[in-house]
Amino acid sequence: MLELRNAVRHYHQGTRIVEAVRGVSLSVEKGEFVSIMGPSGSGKSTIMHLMAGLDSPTSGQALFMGRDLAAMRDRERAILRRTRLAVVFQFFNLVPTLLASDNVALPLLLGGTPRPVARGKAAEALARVGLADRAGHYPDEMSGGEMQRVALARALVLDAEAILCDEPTGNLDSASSTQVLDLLRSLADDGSRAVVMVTHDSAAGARGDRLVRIRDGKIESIERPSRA
Amino acid sequence: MFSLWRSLGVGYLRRRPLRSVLVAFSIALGVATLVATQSLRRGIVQGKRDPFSLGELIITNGRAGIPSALENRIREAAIPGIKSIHPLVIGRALAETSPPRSVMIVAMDVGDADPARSLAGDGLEVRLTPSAEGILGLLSGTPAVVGNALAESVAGKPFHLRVAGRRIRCSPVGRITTTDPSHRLAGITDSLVVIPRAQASSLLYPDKPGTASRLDIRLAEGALAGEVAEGLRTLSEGLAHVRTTAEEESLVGDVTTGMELGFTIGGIGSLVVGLFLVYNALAVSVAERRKDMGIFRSCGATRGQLAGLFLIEAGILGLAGSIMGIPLGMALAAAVSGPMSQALGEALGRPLVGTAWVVHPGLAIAAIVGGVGTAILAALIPAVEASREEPVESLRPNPGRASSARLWLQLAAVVTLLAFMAGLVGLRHLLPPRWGSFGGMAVLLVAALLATPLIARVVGKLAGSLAALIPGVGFRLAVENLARAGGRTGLVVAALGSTGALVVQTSGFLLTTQSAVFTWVETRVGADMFITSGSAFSSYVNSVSMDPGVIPRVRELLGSDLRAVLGARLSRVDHQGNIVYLLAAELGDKDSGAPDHLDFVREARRDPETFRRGAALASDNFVLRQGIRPGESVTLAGPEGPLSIPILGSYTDYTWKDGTIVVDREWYSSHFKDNQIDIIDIWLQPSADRNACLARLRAGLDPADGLFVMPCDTLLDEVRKQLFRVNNLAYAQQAILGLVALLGVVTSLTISVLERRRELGLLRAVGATRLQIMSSVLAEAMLMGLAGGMLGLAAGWALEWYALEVMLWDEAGFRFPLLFPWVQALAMLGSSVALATLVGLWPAWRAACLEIPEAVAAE
Repeated sequence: MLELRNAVRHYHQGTRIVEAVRGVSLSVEKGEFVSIMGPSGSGKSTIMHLMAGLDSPTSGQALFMGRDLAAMRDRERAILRRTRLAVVFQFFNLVPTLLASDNVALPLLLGGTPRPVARGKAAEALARVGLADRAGHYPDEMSGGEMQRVALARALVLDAEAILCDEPTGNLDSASSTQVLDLLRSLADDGSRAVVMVTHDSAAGARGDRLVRIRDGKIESIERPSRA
Repeated sequence: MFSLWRSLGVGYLRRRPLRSVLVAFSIALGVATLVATQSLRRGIVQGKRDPFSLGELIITNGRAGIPSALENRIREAAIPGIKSIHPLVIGRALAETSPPRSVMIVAMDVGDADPARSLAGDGLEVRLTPSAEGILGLLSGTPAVVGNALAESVAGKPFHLRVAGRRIRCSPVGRITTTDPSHRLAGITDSLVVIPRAQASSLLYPDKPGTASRLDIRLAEGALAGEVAEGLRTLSEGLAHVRTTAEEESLVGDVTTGMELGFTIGGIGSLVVGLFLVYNALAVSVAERRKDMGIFRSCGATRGQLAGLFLIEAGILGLAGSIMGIPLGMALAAAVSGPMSQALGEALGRPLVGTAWVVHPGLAIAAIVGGVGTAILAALIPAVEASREEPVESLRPNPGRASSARLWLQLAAVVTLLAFMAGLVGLRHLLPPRWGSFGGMAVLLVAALLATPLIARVVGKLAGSLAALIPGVGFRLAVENLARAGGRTGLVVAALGSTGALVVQTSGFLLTTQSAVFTWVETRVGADMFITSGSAFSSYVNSVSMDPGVIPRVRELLGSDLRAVLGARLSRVDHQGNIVYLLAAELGDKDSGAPDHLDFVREARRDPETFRRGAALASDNFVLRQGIRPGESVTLAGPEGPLSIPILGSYTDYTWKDGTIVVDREWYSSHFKDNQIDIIDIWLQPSADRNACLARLRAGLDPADGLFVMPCDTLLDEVRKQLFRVNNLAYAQQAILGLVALLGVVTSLTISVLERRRELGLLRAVGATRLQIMSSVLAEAMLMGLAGGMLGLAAGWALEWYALEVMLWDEAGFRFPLLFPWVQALAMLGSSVALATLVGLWPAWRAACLEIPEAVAAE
């Protein structure tokens, strides 16, 4: 479903060229939960951005359902992100000036769904993540864990085929982290989605079906953690 | 899209009310200025309408009037295309009421004038109100229809009209009123007296029986105005001038054209400054919402949706601002219109009539379109830039710097505008009038606005390198911050600077012209007193002609206290399509006539015989603007044919923008058949008690003559007030511009505090007190005010020079030595610093209130 083929990503930092990703090949299938771990600056976030179509590889390919994301027009990639592919970040998942329900409904609104319909679906998604009573609250009225669950509800509302998360538990306490990880696990377990999670937390990384270790922009190892 | 915007845009506007209000208010102020200036301009244009126009063509010769012989010749010629000819007699007289009042006499032959064009009709009511005394009075008097004010004063009883010692008895038989405030005659009907033509002519033109003030020509359907006018010009060559009504109104109203243009430029200029400030606010709003945009893009928003979101938001704010701005503009127009009306009436030579300071529906629509358009235009670049960023870039903490390509583009735009300005000014003599001078100023202002952020960057870099030398952490941080954010603060500094520049330019222009003119009046004219009839000299448009017999009475009353006296007739005459002043002066002899220190007196006495035979002196600006050299002649239309007047020499005279010609009054009287005077200048002996002389004159002159004796210093005070009133609108515009600029300071500082949240949190974490944080932000505000003020000083000096050396020279041919208004300039600088610091208090307080954990957790 999601695939990187010898992906390379360089970018400029002043006069320096930073090789964030140096020839990574990785594929993730439906129903799979893949964790990507590595130290700070290893390129793990960049790998996630390439897989999500948020960034384009300098060379190599990033594919979704066999289609080269970089070859698509920007509009096509945008439509993909509002219909089939969801992204959750460590911070800045939610628009601070929107209610939780509107944050969840955002992809539907962008797709032209009438507001009442979009809000109805958002309410269902919020209920699935246990936050039905927070629909009318702003992000600054929620805890970190609640905000991350709202972001996951947004992934549910569009019934995304792939969910990519960049440090989703990095800012959470252990209880909230467990809740979020359980939710991600359940999303992969129903067999209809691929879930990719970038993390620096080994306990979180062990929740995945595969654990990909990244160092200096390259895959160092791929493990299959034992699940308790 | 609307559903999307409703969810996203409204949410943002609701959660950021202050930012939204600031943007909307900036637009509101710009729209208010536009509405005020345009409604005032419209009022002036309406007020310049000829109140008595009865036809499409008009034959006129200023005060000389149209002799009956010419009228008969035109009637006999039966020029094809003329439907009817309407002679009008118009002039001012004194109604011998208690106290005497200046009234406007009108006599006309309406004949078969088209009712749509006649003075009667919608908005004008004429009622016959015969009283017993009035009817009886007809037996020995002239029937008169009078305006309300005079009707109430005379209460149905007969009264006398008086001009220069001549009187006629009138019996009121009716009342004339306007029911529509926009009627052409509104504003003068109160003081109107309508009497038969013969009596009016005998009163106003005693030495020229049957003379009319003008002939209005009504054209037959399908007749070509140009052809008929040519035929009329052939007949009236040397006796009168033929123009269309529109040309006549344009000629008379030319004096305010410069002011109207100034209003328009001021209005548009405010909107342009508003545009730059709104751009500033929206650009920073885009920067602030980069992460929001990253989320939108990561959720599937297209570039078009993102750009559309910002444009719709801007449009809504623009609409809100426009709606607020329209009533604000009406209030502004109403506030300044009263004082300006009188001053403008003086400039036009007749009271402003039919003036309605209201907002036309077309203007309201234009204001809304302008306000919304400005906001959308301001948002265009930020919206496009926001949509162009890749999603992953938006999510990164540090935004990229402004591309050098954009800076070069900005620089190229500034250079191009300056070159265009130089072209406009250099080639202005080849362009239509005022295009070069006014256009050049407008282009210069836009170039300055564009250039200021660039200059701010350069100054900021220099200041940044010197920051380490600045004592005090607060100031150093403020300087460094300003240096970092040159693009953002530069526009705000430009807005402050443009306000300051306009204040300095207006004050400097007023100071220079006032100083030059008043010095001229005090030293070169130097009269101690002026006598006029009907109204004071400062309200010349209402004055009535005087009998020269007042002069011997003045000599008698003042005796040995009198040093010199000069009686003069002041007319407006047409010279080659321009209105110039003709001053007919009684020089007398050296011992008892006009004093030698008057330039034209001294010049005329070099060759008094030639002067008495009809030579003239011309003012310096007449010689320049009309292109006449001493020794050459000018030709004026006279009652009996063209009069060729050789120019003996030139002298300094600031009376009129198109120039003044001085002739001998005896010669004028015999050739123009007009023995009346308008003004008597009086010079006292140095030892004379001025107040006692004033009292003697006021007590001793015939009250029935309605004479006003005005000391020179009182006159200058009145003129000073009038100049101030005329510039009321300019001051109001500058106040609004200043308010917009201060809003920009608040916005810029608020954004600065937001951007520096973490930095400020860290400062607090390492030991800075809240007061130190507050001082740092206040210091930034103060520095912005200082930078804006300094820019205003420099730009104001340049604008003042431009206004004097280019615009005044083009408008009036006057060249005055530039006086810099140090007092006003320093007051402006101080105000800029003080007000910027004051409005910086709130963002500074917000910065001081930041909680450390919250602030350092950001990012």
